[in-house]
Amino acid sequence: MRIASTLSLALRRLRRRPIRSLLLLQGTVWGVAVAIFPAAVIQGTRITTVTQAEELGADRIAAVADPTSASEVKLAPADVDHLRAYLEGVGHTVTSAAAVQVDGPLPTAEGVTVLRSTPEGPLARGLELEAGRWFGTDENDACVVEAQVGTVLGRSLALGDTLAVAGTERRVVGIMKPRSQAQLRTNDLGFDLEHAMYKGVAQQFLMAMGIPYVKDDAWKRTDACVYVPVDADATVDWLYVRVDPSQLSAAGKSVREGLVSRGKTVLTLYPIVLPVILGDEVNRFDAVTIAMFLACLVMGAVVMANLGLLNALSRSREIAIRRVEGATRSDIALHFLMEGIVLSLIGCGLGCLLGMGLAELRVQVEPVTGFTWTFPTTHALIACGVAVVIGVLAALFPALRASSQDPVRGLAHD
Amino acid sequence: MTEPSPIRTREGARFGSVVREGLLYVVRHPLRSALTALTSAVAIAVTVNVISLSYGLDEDVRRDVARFGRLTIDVGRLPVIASGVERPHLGDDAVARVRDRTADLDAVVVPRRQVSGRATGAATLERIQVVGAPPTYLSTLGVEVVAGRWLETVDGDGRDAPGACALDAEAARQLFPDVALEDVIGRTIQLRVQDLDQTMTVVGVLEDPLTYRALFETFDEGRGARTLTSSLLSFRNVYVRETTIAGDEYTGISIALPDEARIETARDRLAQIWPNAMKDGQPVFLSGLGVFVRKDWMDALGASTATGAMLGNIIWIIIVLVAVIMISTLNLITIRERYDDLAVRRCEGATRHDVALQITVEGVVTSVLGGLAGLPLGYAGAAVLRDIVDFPFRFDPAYAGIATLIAAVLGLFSSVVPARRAARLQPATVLSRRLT
Repeated sequence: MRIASTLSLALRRLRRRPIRSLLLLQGTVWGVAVAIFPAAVIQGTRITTVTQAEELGADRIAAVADPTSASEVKLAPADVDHLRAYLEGVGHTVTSAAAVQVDGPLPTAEGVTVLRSTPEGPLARGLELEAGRWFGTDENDACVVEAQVGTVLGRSLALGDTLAVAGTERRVVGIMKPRSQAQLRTNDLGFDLEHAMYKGVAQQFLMAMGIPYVKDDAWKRTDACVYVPVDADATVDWLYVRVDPSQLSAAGKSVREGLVSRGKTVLTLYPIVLPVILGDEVNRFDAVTIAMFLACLVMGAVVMANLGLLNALSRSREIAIRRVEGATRSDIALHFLMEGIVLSLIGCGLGCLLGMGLAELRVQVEPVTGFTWTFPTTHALIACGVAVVIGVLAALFPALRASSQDPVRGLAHD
Repeated sequence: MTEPSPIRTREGARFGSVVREGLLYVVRHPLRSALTALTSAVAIAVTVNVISLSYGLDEDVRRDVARFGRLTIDVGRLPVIASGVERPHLGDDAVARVRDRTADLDAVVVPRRQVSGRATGAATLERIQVVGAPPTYLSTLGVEVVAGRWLETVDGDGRDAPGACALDAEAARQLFPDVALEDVIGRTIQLRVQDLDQTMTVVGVLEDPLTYRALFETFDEGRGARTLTSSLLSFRNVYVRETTIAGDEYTGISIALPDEARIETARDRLAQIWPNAMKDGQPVFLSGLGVFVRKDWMDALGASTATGAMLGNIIWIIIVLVAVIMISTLNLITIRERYDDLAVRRCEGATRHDVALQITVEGVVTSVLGGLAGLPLGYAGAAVLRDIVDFPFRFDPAYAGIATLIAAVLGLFSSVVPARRAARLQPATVLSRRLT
């Protein structure tokens, strides 16, 4: 009852000057926001990376010949078996692997791209079968089609239908599931090609860092490719390997090393930001976040303590009257403490909201597909706990000073 | 010597007394002043930290990058992945054309052949860049030899005669962990390039121009997608004689020029043979050879780190703004408590201007004192963070000056509203309210 009445008194005082309270609360608000916003983005993106690795391409490595090498690098279907064996030999789990050669558009329909590939081509590229099966290595009268091939051709395609591809009538033995718009917009490096930040900043930055411009990869994002078997002795453009997402970075290194032993220099393309987010190294920046959090909080606490002191001085008459009316010293101290706690709690609430706002803003400006945020409960609880403790400590000193005032002197002075 | 005018002397004395009054207030209320100063101290500590980090990093990166060979132009294949296009030829005829076009520019023309290979010293590196070039290659870079010497024409290529090689410091560290760079000289490595095993003796080690290599490589997931030509500037290479790597084609031709003026001339001449490859981040051509001026690339990269430093500014500006608003609000509340004092000062003859000045002096003095206290706090905080995070904080006395200036501005801005409020008060109203 006593606490409730003190609480309502404290709330009334804070409500009387909301703008002033809000301005003084800034330290706590920014402190809590700074503490939880990076954690919100890292946690959210980690969860998405793990749960939606296939959709984000966070389990997929594409290898392509280095365009700047002195002698021409020729990749071959046989490299796939070699890579699979090499990767498994050094401890990686290979989900699927394939070699893909871009044969060009279908003569009858520019929008459909013919790909010659080893049987698991679409699977290694991250697509899933909707119906049917893969073709066999030498099944030259078979093909597998992606979801939009029928739409582009202006006809419905079903299993068993025939399609004239590369001069041969081929049976459709497999149909792939359509991919999401986000997948279709994302390139092998994990960037959203339609994002303004990618077009405006990231692309130039990547090129300045020596990452080449991939010119002819529009087919990767059409959902309108037809897969037919590749000849064993053919040269291929792309090798694809899918691995455990947690091994992506290490497997990428192994792919490069595995092909050097075959005398081939390749570039490996995979989402370059997601492994950083998944790694432990990013946690070392927690110290910076904590430092900023504490700096903001100390500023907030100092201002709150200062305000409390001023209150204790300026409200000496009010305190004296309350004492004369029967309020004990502990009542007065409790009132000041309550104001501190209420201020801190409101600051924490607003800080959490601001933190979420900052996280959303960060996600919006990020051109990497898969960047998202989630509410970091543990971080928020710790941040708010520390903020309230510091707030209480800041309120304690003025509270003790106010409660120790002699009511007679307080009234006589006035 | 001219006598100061009486009016000016009177104004000077008046200004002095107002300042003294402001200082006295700060001294008479030590707790309140100390708490306000502490807010300023924390804000300045954060500012020192952030400036040390962002500007220090920017300067270090610019210095590092400048050592990549600012006066060098490269001719090479375009970094564009496009299937079905004709592969450009870069052989001795191209070298001859470059020599011909740059003959009068004192240029050093260095053709280079580069392959990925395996190297084994005390440890094995499964994939390392092996650069085959004539001894003049060193003039295309801005780095020094830190141990031993650079390759010379007397050195063998490992094919017909015992081979010699030079290493980048990082390659030496990885091939011979826990061995001092000077002690790597004279050791041998097994080099496997183009399906041939060769034994090479290390004759020299190049200095590492990358100050923050470990930190950047930790987060550099894009390294696997970097072309051979770009990997060259990762400075983790093995350098061998030009004949160690066989072939008719070169990976690139580097042209080192004596000064920036001649870079422009060489660029124009070479661009007539091989037009520049990229425009606004897009390839102009899909295949062929292009001319890359390292200076341009360095300037672009420098602009990127400068942008990073600018973004760092946002953090401390927000912190300082928060401090300004909080101190300002606090001062406003304090002013209300001091209405009586200020009204009496007005009755004693102080003008509105004097009152505003006094409040401003109080604010600036408190802030600057806090800021000065914040400097060591900032340095200490940065030292602790550097140990925990292993991030490159770099200090410069100039940053301390900037931070003190920011503290003064902080005090000034946080006094504007309270000073206006104090100057507007009506002494008669305040005191009559008091008397009734």
